[in-house]
Amino acid sequence: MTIPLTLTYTACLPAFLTENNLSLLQGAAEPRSEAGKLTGNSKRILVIDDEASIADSLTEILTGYGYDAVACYDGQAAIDTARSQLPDVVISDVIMPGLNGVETVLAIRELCPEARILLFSGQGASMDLLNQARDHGHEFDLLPKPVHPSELLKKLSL
Amino acid sequence: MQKDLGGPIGESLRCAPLKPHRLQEFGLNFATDGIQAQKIHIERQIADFFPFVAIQATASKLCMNKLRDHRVGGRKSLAPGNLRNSTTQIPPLNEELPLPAEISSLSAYNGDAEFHLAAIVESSDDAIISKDLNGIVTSWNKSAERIFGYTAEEMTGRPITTIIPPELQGDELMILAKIRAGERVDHFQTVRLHKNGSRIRISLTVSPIRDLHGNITGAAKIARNITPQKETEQTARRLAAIVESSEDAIFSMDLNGNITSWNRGAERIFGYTLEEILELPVAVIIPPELQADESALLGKIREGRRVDHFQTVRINKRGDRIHVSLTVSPVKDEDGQIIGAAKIARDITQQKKLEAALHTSEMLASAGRLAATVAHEINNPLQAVINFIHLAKQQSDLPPRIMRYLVDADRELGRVVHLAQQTLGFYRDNSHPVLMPVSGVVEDVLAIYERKVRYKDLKMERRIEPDLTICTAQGELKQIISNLIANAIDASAKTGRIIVHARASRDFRSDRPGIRITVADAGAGIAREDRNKVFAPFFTTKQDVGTGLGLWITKDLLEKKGGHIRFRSRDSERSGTVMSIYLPSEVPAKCADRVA
Repeated sequence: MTIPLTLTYTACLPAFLTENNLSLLQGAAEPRSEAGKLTGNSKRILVIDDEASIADSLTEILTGYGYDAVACYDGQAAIDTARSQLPDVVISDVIMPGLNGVETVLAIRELCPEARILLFSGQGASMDLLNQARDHGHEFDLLPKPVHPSELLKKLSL
Repeated sequence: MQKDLGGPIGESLRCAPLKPHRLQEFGLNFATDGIQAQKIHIERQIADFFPFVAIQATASKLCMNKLRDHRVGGRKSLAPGNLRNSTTQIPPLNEELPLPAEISSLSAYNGDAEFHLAAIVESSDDAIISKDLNGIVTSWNKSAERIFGYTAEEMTGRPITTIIPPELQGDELMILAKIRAGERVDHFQTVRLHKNGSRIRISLTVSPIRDLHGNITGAAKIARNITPQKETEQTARRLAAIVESSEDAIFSMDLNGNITSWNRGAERIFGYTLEEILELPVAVIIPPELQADESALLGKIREGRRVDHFQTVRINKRGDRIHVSLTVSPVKDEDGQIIGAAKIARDITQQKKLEAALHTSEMLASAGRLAATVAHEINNPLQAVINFIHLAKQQSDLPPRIMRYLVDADRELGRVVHLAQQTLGFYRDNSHPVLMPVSGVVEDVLAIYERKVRYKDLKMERRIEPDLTICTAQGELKQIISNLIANAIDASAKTGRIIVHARASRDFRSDRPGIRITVADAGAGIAREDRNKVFAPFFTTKQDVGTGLGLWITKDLLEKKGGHIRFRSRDSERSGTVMSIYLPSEVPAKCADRVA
């Protein structure tokens, strides 16, 4: 019997910080935005990027600022998570293998029409996808990658 | 007293080469002081070159001897000039001739000379025909046979109108009228019919034939077949028309390089009229640095070689340089000697421009592909590192030194991000336009370059209209200003001065409101030969540190927004460059609720 070696399983788990971690963050030197209050901010944010280091670090930053952030590493997993979590905000990379960012957020918008969607990308090709979406009546904000976390937090607080 | 000059002549006198049908029988009563020539056959052929008369007479031997001895006969008197006179003015002979002594041909007496003349008629390339005053053909030489297809037997006794096309029959009446009036018809170009029906172009000379008394008895026609000549002329005319109507410049020159012909195409392309340039050296249209090529080219021509599709540059009358594709061939005279060169020059300036544009767009395409790839590979790790630094800075128990490192690392990364976006930032800022103060944006950008400005000890002068605002995408405006300032700083020498000037402006064409930002430096300036390349991708004068993308991206961004960029520069020491941009403001309604 041959075991297929090419199967890939994607696990999508909410990231939680421990109390300990939170207390560490509280002492950070970085000035905090309004959204940075650790309590009373229960906005659910779905972070989607095929590069795990980006998705995870961003999720960790957002969680540190009191958001309920979840990282996903591909479009399909993000859609499945959105179905169960109903996020308030979706932050997604655009150019990804499988479902691209635009396809993903369009599917999520079907599930959670109220969700605010922010795309971020470091590639010119993203513009083509966004223009295609615009042709079908879908407008999205695009942030240039890399986006500084403080810029992102500012954007989220608006 | 009239006597019949009849009677046979000896065999020895019958050597005349003329055929009887070729002789005009006049039945002339040839009366001269008791001598009568009963029948004298005269053929008078007047050609352009050989006016001569051949007389064939039936006369007594004595009569003929007399004629020969005294006036007509004898080689001496058969010289063309003499003969014409002697024919028409035969003087009286005193001696009565015994009768009858029939002589069938006077030419027999002058055998050699007549043979010679007859041979000329026979061997002439021209048709030599005689006819009477009724237009009936009386003689028809070999060339007439060759040119018109009819044999002498076929045509003798037939009307000359046989070979005249129906629509030209009137010409014959006109010719005959002239002949009757004693006039010649010289080099009359007309058309005659060949036996096979084809038309032959001929040049006709017709002269009256006179008898010995000067009476006009017929006409001698010399017809030259000019069909080949006409065809050559037509071909030449057709070729001349082609040359004249050609879009290409077609001109010729002698082996000294002096212009000998110049078509309309050449007038159009080079701006000189034929009158202006004829006999001038071809060097007037050759740029100074290419003059040597021309002498090499003339060398090839002297050797009889062609030069095909040689791409080079020429100068028109206004002094503009034009790209031409040149084909040069030797021109030979009839003997095959090379006497000059024919040149065909095609203006390929437009083609060259298109090629350059294509080349540029190919470069842009590859630049785009390269940038997209590199951007992805750089921006993603940058995002991760920025996030990690941010996370690290959040740690509460960081030693101050570590925190300082992290803050410095974050700032340096900011520079990398800026550089990546400036050079590889092919993303378009599609964020909504924001109404922002221009001075704020300028200060943001200057802050990035603060260290460089300090290092060079540059004096940065701001002349920004107070309260000047613009509604546009912030990232793009920053990128534009940043590119201009970065260039100004790089061009400046130490302790130089940079002036950033910004004011409200309107586009001179569309009258659309916007801003004009001018960045002036007192640096090295842009070399004259580089001025048309500064906006080309990958063109840089900064050697190792320049990407050659800054101004190209700036121009691209501005043009997409309906703005433009211009510059003024001198390449003398410290005379500097002034870059000026116009950026139109977005419609205020679009950004009314988004005041930054």
